Amino acid sequence: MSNLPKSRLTLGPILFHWPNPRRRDFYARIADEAPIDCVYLGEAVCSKRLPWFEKDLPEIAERLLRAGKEVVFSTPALITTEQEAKEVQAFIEAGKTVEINDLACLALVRGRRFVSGPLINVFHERALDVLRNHGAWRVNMPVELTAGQIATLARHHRTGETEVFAFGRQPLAISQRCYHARAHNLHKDNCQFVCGLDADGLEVSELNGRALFAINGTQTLSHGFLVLLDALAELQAAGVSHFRLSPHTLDMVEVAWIYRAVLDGTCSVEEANARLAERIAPIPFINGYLHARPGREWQPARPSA
Amino acid sequence: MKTYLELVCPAGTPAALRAAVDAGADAVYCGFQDCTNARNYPGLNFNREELQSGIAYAHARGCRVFVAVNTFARAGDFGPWQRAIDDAAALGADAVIVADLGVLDYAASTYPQLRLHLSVQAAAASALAIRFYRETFGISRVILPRVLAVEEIAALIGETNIEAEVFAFGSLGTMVEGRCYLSSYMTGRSPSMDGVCAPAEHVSYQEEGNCLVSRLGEVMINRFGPDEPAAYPTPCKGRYLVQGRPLYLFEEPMGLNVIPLLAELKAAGVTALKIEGRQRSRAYVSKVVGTFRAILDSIAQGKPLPAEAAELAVMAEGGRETFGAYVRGWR
Amino acid sequence: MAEGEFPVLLVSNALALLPAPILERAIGLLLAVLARKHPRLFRTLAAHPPCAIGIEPIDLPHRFVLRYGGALPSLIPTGTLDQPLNARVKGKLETLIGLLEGRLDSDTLFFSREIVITGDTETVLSLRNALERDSVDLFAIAMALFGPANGLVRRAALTLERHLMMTRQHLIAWHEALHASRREEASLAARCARLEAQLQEANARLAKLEARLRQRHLARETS
Repeated sequence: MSNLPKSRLTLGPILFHWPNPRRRDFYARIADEAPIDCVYLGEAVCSKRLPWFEKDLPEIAERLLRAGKEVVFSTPALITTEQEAKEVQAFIEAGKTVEINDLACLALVRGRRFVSGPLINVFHERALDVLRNHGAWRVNMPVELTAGQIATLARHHRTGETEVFAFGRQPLAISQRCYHARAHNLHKDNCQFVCGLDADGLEVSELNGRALFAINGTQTLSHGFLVLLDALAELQAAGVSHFRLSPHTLDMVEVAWIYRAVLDGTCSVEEANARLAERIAPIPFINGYLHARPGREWQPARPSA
Repeated sequence: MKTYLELVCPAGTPAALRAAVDAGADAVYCGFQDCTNARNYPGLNFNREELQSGIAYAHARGCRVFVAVNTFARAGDFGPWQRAIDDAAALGADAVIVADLGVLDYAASTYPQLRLHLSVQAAAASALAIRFYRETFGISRVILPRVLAVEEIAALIGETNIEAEVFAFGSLGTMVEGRCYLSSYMTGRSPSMDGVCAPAEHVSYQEEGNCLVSRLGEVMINRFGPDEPAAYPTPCKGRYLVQGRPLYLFEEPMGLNVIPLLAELKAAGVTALKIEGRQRSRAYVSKVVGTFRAILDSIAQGKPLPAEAAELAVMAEGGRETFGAYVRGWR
Repeated sequence: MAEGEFPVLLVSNALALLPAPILERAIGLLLAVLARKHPRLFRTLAAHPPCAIGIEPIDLPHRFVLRYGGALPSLIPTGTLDQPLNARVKGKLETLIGLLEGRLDSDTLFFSREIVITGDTETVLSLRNALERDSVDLFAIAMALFGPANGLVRRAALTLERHLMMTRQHLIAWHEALHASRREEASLAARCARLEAQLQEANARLAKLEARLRQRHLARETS
């Protein structure tokens, strides 16, 4: 492990609709205390939310840069209106590095380097080449991929950077329809921003009461938290250079330190899993996709030989 | 041949292809018997010989054949998708329906004369997206995602002048297509890569008293009371508890039917209507295609709609119909 | 049993009175002809892993177990379906025959609960798709057995057609009834929707006021 380049930790965009004071405090602590190498800022889920906090972004970005963090601007998963396309274009023309989450943005990034986000479909090498040819230098793996598939793509992309979603509720689907609004008998047009009521997502269960999903506006997430602590070494050896932690309301600084410690070998996976389990209990861990199982399952690691 | 709107119909099996062509389809779409298409179900689809006969049958009757190679190729395993494009081209398919960037790249660079239709699985819902795909791969037609209102479709076609095909009848998903993991979350099989959503091998129904309970994998999707129509356990059509209330959170099981909107769609500049249902029976195909043919012919000749138009509702999932997102208020 | 009486009995309630051994012999004859006329269908069924599907025509006292995969397909009448089965299909006899012949859409019948399918869905789906590829015409087969000019066969064919049409009309009527009750609800619902829209507008205005108040409060706190 000491021969491999040091893996970097990234902080994904805040997927949920947090109020501004919470966002500002959150990023202040990240800047000052967290072993995070790159922070993604911006709105990836619903462009209606952006006006609430976009004026704070330059100051937050500035603070993170001063703390030595790399800053990338995330863009929405669905670009349908001209307004949304213009907003992405504005970021690009201002010279900012963007993360694209809708392939439509490939029409805007020409000639500039960009990050391909986890919501982009890139399942095999030839698709990855198309992204590279358009300027993608860091490519996020879709959460549905197995460890083997990630390894194949990371190997193919070894001159670039490969990032894997490693902590948080997994994004499963995106829609034009707002399910948060629907759950409150409203529509997306008059939603009253009810998604702001659930800072980690609104829990949805099967009819028998078993928790299944978390709803975040137009996005559907897993109920369980993806936790890849026991796969970090394997993925790192396969060529993954960045691990993404998706922000939730628990102490993300602590989460970052736990991941950093496992990557540096200063904390065992068992101990790290136990500490993290305490923090998110009673919500379960999941990692099914990595092991070619249903995504909602948890596959314990094979005992090391 | 001038048609009011082109009628593009599902051919799940060679028998269904003949049924669709005989019922008056202007074009049929079908897939190979593997994971390269989004209806990869047991007993469905065509081997190479069957496609050859199917194309001969269709062409002899003035009907075109589109081959769907619309799933996303897997890491380290491009072979099946490459062979599907090669064989579709060699057998004389009129177009291939593709979603994946890599497959588009292969088809466009290897067979520049082969017509490329952009699958709904590519979820191209903006002028920006359509422009990207046209400039990069030279797509001739886009199948529009089922999430746009008619006004939005009109604006899109106006701006891009692209040939547009829209869904007119059948099942509809509520999530952005090609990017939905709800089914793999429960079954481990990916709609995007394996071409299966809610695959039968993971579906079960149990009678519990006078209710019918449907499950996908270990997940309970719905419980139908004695008077309720049944539905397939597609995850987005399930009934779930939200804040203690049972609710069709994502979408109710129902089928799309745009018959009352045909004139508006035509005015919006739409070129073709797509009937969904490669996994449905010959009886469904004959009935639906025949009815749409009669309706389109009536409109073209300025005659009133035939009475059978009303009978289609019965074939809809959940026994109910909707205009889906075509009319505002769906979101 | 006179061979000529078989097709009529198949669609009439008199079938209920037939003892199982005679029924079994009649079915055996039918399957033999089916095998000759549809070799591809039987090859597909043979290639399947061995399975057993219970068939329950709810308007007959007989139950049947359809076995295929590995050996020649068999359809054995039985008293109860109290045995290990991969799946069960339940419905009226004419519905099941209409399904077999591909004249009725299986999904529509399933949605409307005219047929109930439980157990291994994939097996039933594979069977349906195998039947879909080969158009099985039961009466063409009966005619092959007993001769085309047979008046009994013609009468039986007409009886079945009538049953099929009744099933279709029944489905439409059921559907109409479902929607009629919804239509009454709809006008009431329209009035409720109008009131709701007004309420939502009022709520939206209230929410904006609250938001403005909150911002002002926050601004005061942070300054």
